Order: sequence, then structure tokens, then C-alpha cells
Amino acid sequence: MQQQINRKTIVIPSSHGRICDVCGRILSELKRNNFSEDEVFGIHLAIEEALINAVKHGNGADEAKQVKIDYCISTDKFEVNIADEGSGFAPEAVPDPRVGENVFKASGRGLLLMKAYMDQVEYVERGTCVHMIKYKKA
Amino acid sequence: MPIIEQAPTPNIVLDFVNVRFLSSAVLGLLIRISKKVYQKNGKLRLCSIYPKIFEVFKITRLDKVFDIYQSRADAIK
Repeated sequence: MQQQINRKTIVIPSSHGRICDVCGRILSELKRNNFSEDEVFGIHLAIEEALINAVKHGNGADEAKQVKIDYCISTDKFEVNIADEGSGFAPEAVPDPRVGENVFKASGRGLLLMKAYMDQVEYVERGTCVHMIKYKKA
Repeated sequence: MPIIEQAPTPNIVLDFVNVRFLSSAVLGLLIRISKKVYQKNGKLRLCSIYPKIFEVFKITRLDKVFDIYQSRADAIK
């Protein structure tokens, strides 16, 4: 049986206010597509962290720069690419926020949470785009 | 934050009973609050954390950093 694929693109300026709009729209679609409460919670956390990273760290909160969100919801998974217009970063250089004094730092937990809640997290395009997948439990 | 700054020795209980979602930005805010409270020899206690939210604390190991209680009654004892 052929899967129904629902691929969409949203482009927003680098504004924290727009992050809620994007999350709200995607979460509504996930619920309509019967993703579980736990899956929706995890995806919400991961996309919000990725969007905050793109707006704040990638684009430096410069509203002239855009964040592009490409996503698709199919019967078995949610897949998203979130791309900024920054100069990129090396995810492997991000310190583990669970270790030593890092645990007392006020930032640096976003990537850890994205990895914890999504089945796949991969940075491409020199770190300017994150690709994430969450598989729906049968 | 002004409440913490104005109190000579802030003793704060944050009740999470109605919290159903939080991101790392909120965790960062809690860390900043805790530093201000501890600088003034105060106490910060968190309570009634919904299981999904508590999982976020566990993943980030902040469950070992914050003083967390099952209920508000336990936290204010």
C-alpha cells in the first residue's frame, strides 16, 4: 500500500515569537495523524530546541535572516529539516551539559534533548541545517 | 527575579503542578534563579513535576542539581 506523504515548507524570520506558531502548526498535524502524546511531546521539545538554536545561534536573532522548516508527516514517521542562514557550527565541539561544571551552566542542553527525543539527529551543510526523524510506534 | 533580589534570604518553592511542557530555555532560567538564591544563602525547592517533565530533568541530570519534592506539602515542610 502506498504511504500518504504530507510534505510542507514554512519559512520564518529569525523571531522567537514565530517559533510558537511553527510548533503549534506542526503539533496539530501530528495529533491529527495519530502520533501518541509521548511522541508529540518529544517532537515538540526537539523542534523547539532546533528552532531556538537556528534563530539565536545560527542567525544571531537577525530578523533579516530566515529559518526554513521542511517537514513531512507520513503514516510511520515525522521527518524535518530546519535550516538557518548562519555560518554553521561543529556539533561534536558542543560540550556535554551533563558533565562536571557544565551541569550548572544556564545553556547548552538543546542538542542533548533533541538527540534524546528524536530517533535520528544529523547536522548537514556545515551545521546550518539539522535533519531529524521520529518514528511512530506501531 | 526582583522577588529574589529583594528578599534578604529567599526561600522559594516552585510548584510545577500545571506545567506540561518546558524547553532548555526554562532549565537555563531555573539555573540562573538557583544561583541568585544560593548567593543569598536561600533555598530553592521544586515540586509536583509531571513525569514527562521530570524525564527532561533526568536526561539533563538536573534532577541531581535541584531539590525536588513530590508535593507542595513536602516542599514546604
